[in-house]
Amino acid sequence: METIDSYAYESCMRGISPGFKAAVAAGALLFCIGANHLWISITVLLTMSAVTVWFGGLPLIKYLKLLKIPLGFLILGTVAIVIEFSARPFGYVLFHWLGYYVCVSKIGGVIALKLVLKAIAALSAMYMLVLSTPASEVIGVLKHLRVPKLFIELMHMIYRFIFVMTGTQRLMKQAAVSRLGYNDFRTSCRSFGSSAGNLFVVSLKKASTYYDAMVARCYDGELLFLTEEKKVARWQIIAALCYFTVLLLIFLLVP
Amino acid sequence: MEEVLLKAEGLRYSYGQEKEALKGIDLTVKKGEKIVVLGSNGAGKSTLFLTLNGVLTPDLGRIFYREKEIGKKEINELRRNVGIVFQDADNQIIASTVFSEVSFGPMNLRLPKEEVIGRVNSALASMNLTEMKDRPPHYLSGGEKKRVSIADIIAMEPEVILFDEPTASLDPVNVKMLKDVLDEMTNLGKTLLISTHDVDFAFQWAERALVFSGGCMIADGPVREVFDSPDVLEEANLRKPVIMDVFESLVRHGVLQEEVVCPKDARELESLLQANSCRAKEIDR
Repeated sequence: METIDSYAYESCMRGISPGFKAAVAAGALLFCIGANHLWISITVLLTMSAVTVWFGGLPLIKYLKLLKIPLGFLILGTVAIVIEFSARPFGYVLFHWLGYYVCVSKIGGVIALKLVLKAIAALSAMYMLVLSTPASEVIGVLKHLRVPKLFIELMHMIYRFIFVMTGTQRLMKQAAVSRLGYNDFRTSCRSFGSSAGNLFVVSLKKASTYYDAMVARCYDGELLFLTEEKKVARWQIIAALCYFTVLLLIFLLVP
Repeated sequence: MEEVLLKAEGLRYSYGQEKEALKGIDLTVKKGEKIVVLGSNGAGKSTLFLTLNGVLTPDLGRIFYREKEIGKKEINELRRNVGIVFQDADNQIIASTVFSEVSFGPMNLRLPKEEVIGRVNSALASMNLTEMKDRPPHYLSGGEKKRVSIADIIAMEPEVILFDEPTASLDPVNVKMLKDVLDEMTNLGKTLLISTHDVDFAFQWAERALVFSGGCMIADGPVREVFDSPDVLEEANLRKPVIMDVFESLVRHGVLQEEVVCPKDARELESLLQANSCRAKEIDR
């Protein structure tokens, strides 16, 4: 199964400290949104994508595929900004109907382009983080940021259970398919419904066996794991500082 | 005299009102014993294990660890010294990397960090998992998950380890690996209890066998004696190990003498037959 999670485990940047990666990603993201500058967006987009693809070793095709889905949403969302309705024609008129003109204005187009680029650039910064850092390490970073323990433990459990549950669901679906359970629309609906109900029962059962297994290992109300810490190398800090200096220079010098 | 580690007296446990899973079990486990727990599904093996580790509190009966009665306060001491490897590794693994998974037990023992790291690393090394310590458990194969679930318990360094059907859902290579691990743990002086349906494995590995049927312990003794009594086998829905059947046929047809002890596996049988034919040749001469 290919998921963002599996890409993160295969990434060549896994050895880098997750805290450092998170700081760079968050810094680039905030810079990008705060500056609201066309060239900053383009630089962040290109550099973050390059880091993910080159240093992380993720194939470009897969990266573009991952960008495609949010891009689709963005384009649909910006259509509203680009297209305007008016009683008088202006800009490029697409068509008119019942006395109204549907137009595309140049200013609207520029705003939309800037917006899309900014959003995609911010997204590429976040992708840099999640495509190189497994969820458990991201949770570790949040723990260092003093997010309440309850949320941290919930995140750990939910993350693990997503895979346990999808695994169970896959097996149940296979069993249903092999008995023609997904033959047509009606049987599909019925099979899906009963397997969803069954999944609920199974998850309750699993929760109780998990609890037993945890108690057997002296669990007493606090989930404790030890995670290995990864050190930040000096060259990485220098590289990050240079990167943000360049961004700042672009912001100050390029109109 | 051998040290008595674990002692249970008149254990009774029932799930809900009607079904009584354990109906008065008396059990004594000595240090370094290799015990196999046999019985059909629902005979009470898993319930016994959960009770012996303190996950389930018996309705009646008492548990002693090293002659100390286990009450509410001592329950963590029991859990620390008696570890369970669950049947389904997927029901045991909770953390998101192998390293942090194995660290869960030692962390719960509130050990200092360096000690935890040391224990986790040696547990991983003994299970051949060092290379995959950063991998998430859901990308491991079944055999690897089983090894993780054993490393989980090894890292806690209990004196008694209970294995709930460890050979189920393992391929022959992994069963072989498991046997090596069990031998290694016996050498380290651990006391092992294994529940299984695999009578051949049981006969080969264990010294003592407990047989369960319907919540009662119907036999407790040396493995050979247990498999030699047809009544027990029939009541517990067990069959004889193949090697015993083969051995009996050989005795019946005069190939082997009756006085010889039944070999534990095919290799022992082979050397027995070899010695036998050598002797026959000498007599011929």
